[in-house]
Amino acid sequence: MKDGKGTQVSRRNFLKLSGMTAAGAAGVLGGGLSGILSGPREVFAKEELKVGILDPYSGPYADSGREQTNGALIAVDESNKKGGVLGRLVTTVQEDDATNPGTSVQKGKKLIDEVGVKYIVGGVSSATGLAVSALCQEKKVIYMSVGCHSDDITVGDKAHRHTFRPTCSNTMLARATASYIADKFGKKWYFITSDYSWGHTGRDAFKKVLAGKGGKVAGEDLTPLGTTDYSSFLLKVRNARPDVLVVSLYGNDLVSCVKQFNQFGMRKEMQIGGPLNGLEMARVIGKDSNVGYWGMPWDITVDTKGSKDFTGKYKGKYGKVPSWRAYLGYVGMQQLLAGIERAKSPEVKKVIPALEGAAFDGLKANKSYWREWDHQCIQDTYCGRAKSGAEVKHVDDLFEIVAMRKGDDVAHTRAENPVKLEAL
Amino acid sequence: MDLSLLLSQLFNGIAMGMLYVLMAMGLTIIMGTMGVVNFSHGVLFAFGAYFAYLIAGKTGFFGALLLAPVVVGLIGMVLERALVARVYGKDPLYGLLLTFGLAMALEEVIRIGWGTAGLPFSAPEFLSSFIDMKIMFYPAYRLAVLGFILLLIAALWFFLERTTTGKIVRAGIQDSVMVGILGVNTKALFTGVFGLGTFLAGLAGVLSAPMSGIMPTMGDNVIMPSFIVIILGGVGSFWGSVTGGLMLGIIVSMCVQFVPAVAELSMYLVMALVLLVRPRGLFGEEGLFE
Repeated sequence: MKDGKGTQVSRRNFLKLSGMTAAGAAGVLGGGLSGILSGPREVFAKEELKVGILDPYSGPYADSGREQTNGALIAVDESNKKGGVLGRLVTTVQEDDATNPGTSVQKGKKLIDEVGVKYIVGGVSSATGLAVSALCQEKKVIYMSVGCHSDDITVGDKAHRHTFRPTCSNTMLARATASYIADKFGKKWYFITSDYSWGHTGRDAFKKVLAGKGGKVAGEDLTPLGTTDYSSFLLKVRNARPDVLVVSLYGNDLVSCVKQFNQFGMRKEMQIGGPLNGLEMARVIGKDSNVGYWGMPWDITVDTKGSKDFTGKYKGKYGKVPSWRAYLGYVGMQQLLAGIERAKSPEVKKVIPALEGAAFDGLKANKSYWREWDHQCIQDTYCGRAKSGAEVKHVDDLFEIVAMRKGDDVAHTRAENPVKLEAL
Repeated sequence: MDLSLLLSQLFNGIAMGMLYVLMAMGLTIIMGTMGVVNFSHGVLFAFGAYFAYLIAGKTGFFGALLLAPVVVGLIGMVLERALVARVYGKDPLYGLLLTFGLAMALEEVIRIGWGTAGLPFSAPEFLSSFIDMKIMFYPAYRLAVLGFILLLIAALWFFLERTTTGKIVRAGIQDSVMVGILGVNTKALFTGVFGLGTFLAGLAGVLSAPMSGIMPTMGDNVIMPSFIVIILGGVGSFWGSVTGGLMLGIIVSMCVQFVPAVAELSMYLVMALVLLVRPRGLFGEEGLFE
């Protein structure tokens, strides 16, 4: 018995070994043969072009981060289908910034120092965006600050030569949205603001429009990021009886606030609006509570061929319609690759001038372009009305664009923006 | 100052505090009986909301209110048997590390199972109106939650004070070793207590889902205030949790009204003050968790 067992094992080992040897030999032989026969192939001759994607996949803005990355990957697919950039296939390395400035810098350093990327695409929270922007300037790496809306990204002394912003600034969103709200619903506003750079500049941009129209601030409160119960704030708001409640909140915070605004029956008493809202949040708010007028960098209802194509591609790959976050990820990545192609070199020093001043089809009615002196993407900016109740025909039918402003009409002018970008 | 606004803030503070009471009750009986600081309480709160979403699709809101906390309680009991039981009697640090890690792992489970996006969830139709309270119109749902938690506190009190099982639980909080020596099956007691505690967390999750929406991180924002409630009230104290929760709710809402800049900080300030005067919390007893 013992012997029998021993033989069995050794036979199995023998089979395994011989199998492995055969496979190995075939591999070596095959590899050698194909090498001799076909010669070195293009793809192997040129190293792949690595792009870092740094978006939040955890923390309060996780969902927006995932959308942006999904959009960016569509641009990568498109490019690789055409043979890549400068004959090199594009690959991405993704890192999670956790919606946290400290983590974003740590992950940014990892991408730059360990992975060795020369370009980083991503960012939802402006707090992380500003941190990564400073890091990339220092490391001489191009940063496409995909979805960070705080004015500071392209305005004043925190703007940098290596940073480009594919999305609208808060001021652009406010000028498109706030003037619409002021004309339609009255000029006494109450502000609830997320207490960090994005919230502050959003509120200030709305206030500026309000002041320009001779309006009045009924009151204001700052809330820390991650607040879930707004009831005490809403009681104050109701007591102040404003015409409009302006909420510069985003993500889960916005969802909680709008839901509770409904629960306290305030939509019958006043209007609500703010610099940003979008599909990811409106779906969670729910169609019965979806209400207000909001700034939007893009929407699935933008009626151009480019936008429809993009929506089709996105649906084909992910099985759902893209939010404007996905659109921004797409534009950010697509523009970076276009810049490299135009520069005819992957060198950062050559890609930056190739982007500056360039006009492109941003899938909107009017062409978009990269403004040379502040790296802001000048583009059509929208005000969307949130749809609710019976007018919602399907799960993605949550917004209607009620106003569109041309980028040059709403962006900071040279006189308004004291920025001076660094020399290359 | 408008008196009706002041009263409405006061009332709203009480209503907000009640949810913390529910969370703190669960935490405090676990802490008192087993000496484990359960950091996974917040994510179990989120589990309550997610299961409610799942169940409500089939049975409606009240089916979810009934079943989801039970499911969370059962999960709690499994976790207790499989993992938490291993750290009893060891340095509290072990329990802390274990439940903290558990919280992160379970949050990932939520992301994998339900996605990173939040989910919509609404109160039942007939509770989506408002009640005219003279001082203000108040959401019917929030009033119902307030009433429900008050009833629940009464039921819990009855259970702990008037039933034999409840007396064993209270005795366990006082001295679980002695309870074991007296012939009580402490293993079953511990599992039951952990189940009851997590049941309460799940219940709080279901109740708050219609107010704030359902998201993977929803537990993060309630866990800290819940711990503060316990520290204010004193570990293991029933009325301590109730008082602490009410204090916290009222203080936060009053700060929002008068000094919004310190609203977030106020709970920590109060905690520091109470600890200076009464290091064991308002109702804390000597010898518990020391």
